[in-house]
Amino acid sequence: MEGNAIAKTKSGISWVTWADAHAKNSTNIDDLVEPFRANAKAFIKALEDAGATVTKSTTKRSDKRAYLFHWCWRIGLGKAKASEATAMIGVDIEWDHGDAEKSKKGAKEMIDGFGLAVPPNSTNAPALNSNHIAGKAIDMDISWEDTIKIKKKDGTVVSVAFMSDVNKNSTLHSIGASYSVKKLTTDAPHWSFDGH
Amino acid sequence: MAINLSPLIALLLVVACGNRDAPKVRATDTPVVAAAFSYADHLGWWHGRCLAISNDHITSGTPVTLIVTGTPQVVRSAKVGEHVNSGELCAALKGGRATANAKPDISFYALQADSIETTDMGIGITSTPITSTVVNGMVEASLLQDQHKNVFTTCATSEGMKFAVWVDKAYVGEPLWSGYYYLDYDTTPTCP
Repeated sequence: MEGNAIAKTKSGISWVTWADAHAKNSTNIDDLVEPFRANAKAFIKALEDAGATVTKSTTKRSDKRAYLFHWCWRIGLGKAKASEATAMIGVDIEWDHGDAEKSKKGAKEMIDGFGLAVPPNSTNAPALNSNHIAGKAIDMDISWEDTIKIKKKDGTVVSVAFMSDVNKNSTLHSIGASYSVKKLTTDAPHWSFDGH
Repeated sequence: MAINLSPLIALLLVVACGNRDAPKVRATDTPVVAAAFSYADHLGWWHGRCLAISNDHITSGTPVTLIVTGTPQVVRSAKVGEHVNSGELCAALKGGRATANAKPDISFYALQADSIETTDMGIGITSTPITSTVVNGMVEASLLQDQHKNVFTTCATSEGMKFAVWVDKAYVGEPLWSGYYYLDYDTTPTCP
């Protein structure tokens, strides 16, 4: 499906397959940008040195994938016309099937295929920009048993008890912040350069 | 999934102490009902035809009441199916979501339901049939079958969904139960 702007492929389930092959999110910390990459690595090293288990999930999210999420959500849910969709270099998708219902159907197939959620009362589509897309955020699960001692960036060592709700573990958040890796307290796995 | 039993404990204390300002509760009924209902065992969140719940021992065919937390909220009846562990059958386990959603204490089950869309989501209750009403677009039910109503909410965080069950009013105090669904994409928060 990659190619020139003339040979566009209409929206539909095939774009889910395309995105899973060509527009995947990364779980590799090396795909983050500096200085957040080095900061995240240092924080994770301190956690692991202390005995914590760190399971990384998403680091850098694909902007192409975000683009597909955003416009299929808006068009498929009738919140935008297919003709309103912007173009993106490297994603030769034709949102407009020349028929409003067919355009909506193609986009809806993608919503279902991607497993997108439709929050109640939400008019907000999946975002086109974020710290993840910019390479400045990481999602990870951090676990340990009982209490461990974690080294902050300034070398001081802090005892931290495990809490099943990481959003409430302010001591852990302060250690992350010492490495400029800041916790977003609404989403358990999410850490970023600015806490958003 | 966080569970807050303090309202239940408080209710039992009120009954035991006989506070004359307390709501009228038949002391003989409340402990029996309370003992029979475990929030963790009976409450979960669902998306499409997949239920996530902290209970690994639900038998296939068990009835489940689904609160569809759309606008307005509606109630659907369904049955719990088999365990599922693949993203093809469960949106919560697709790709990068699986790492964050598939916690050791969470089990995923197929849902057997006729009138559920793939984008529908909400809270599932596996227990005896729930009597509910819809008031101002929100489902109200009494899980403990007492004088308190429970209300159900779903809202978006930055990259997930938060589900919660409240006593009497939504977003007042601590929820009785809550669950988090990691979506693995960025969205605009709607949670208060």
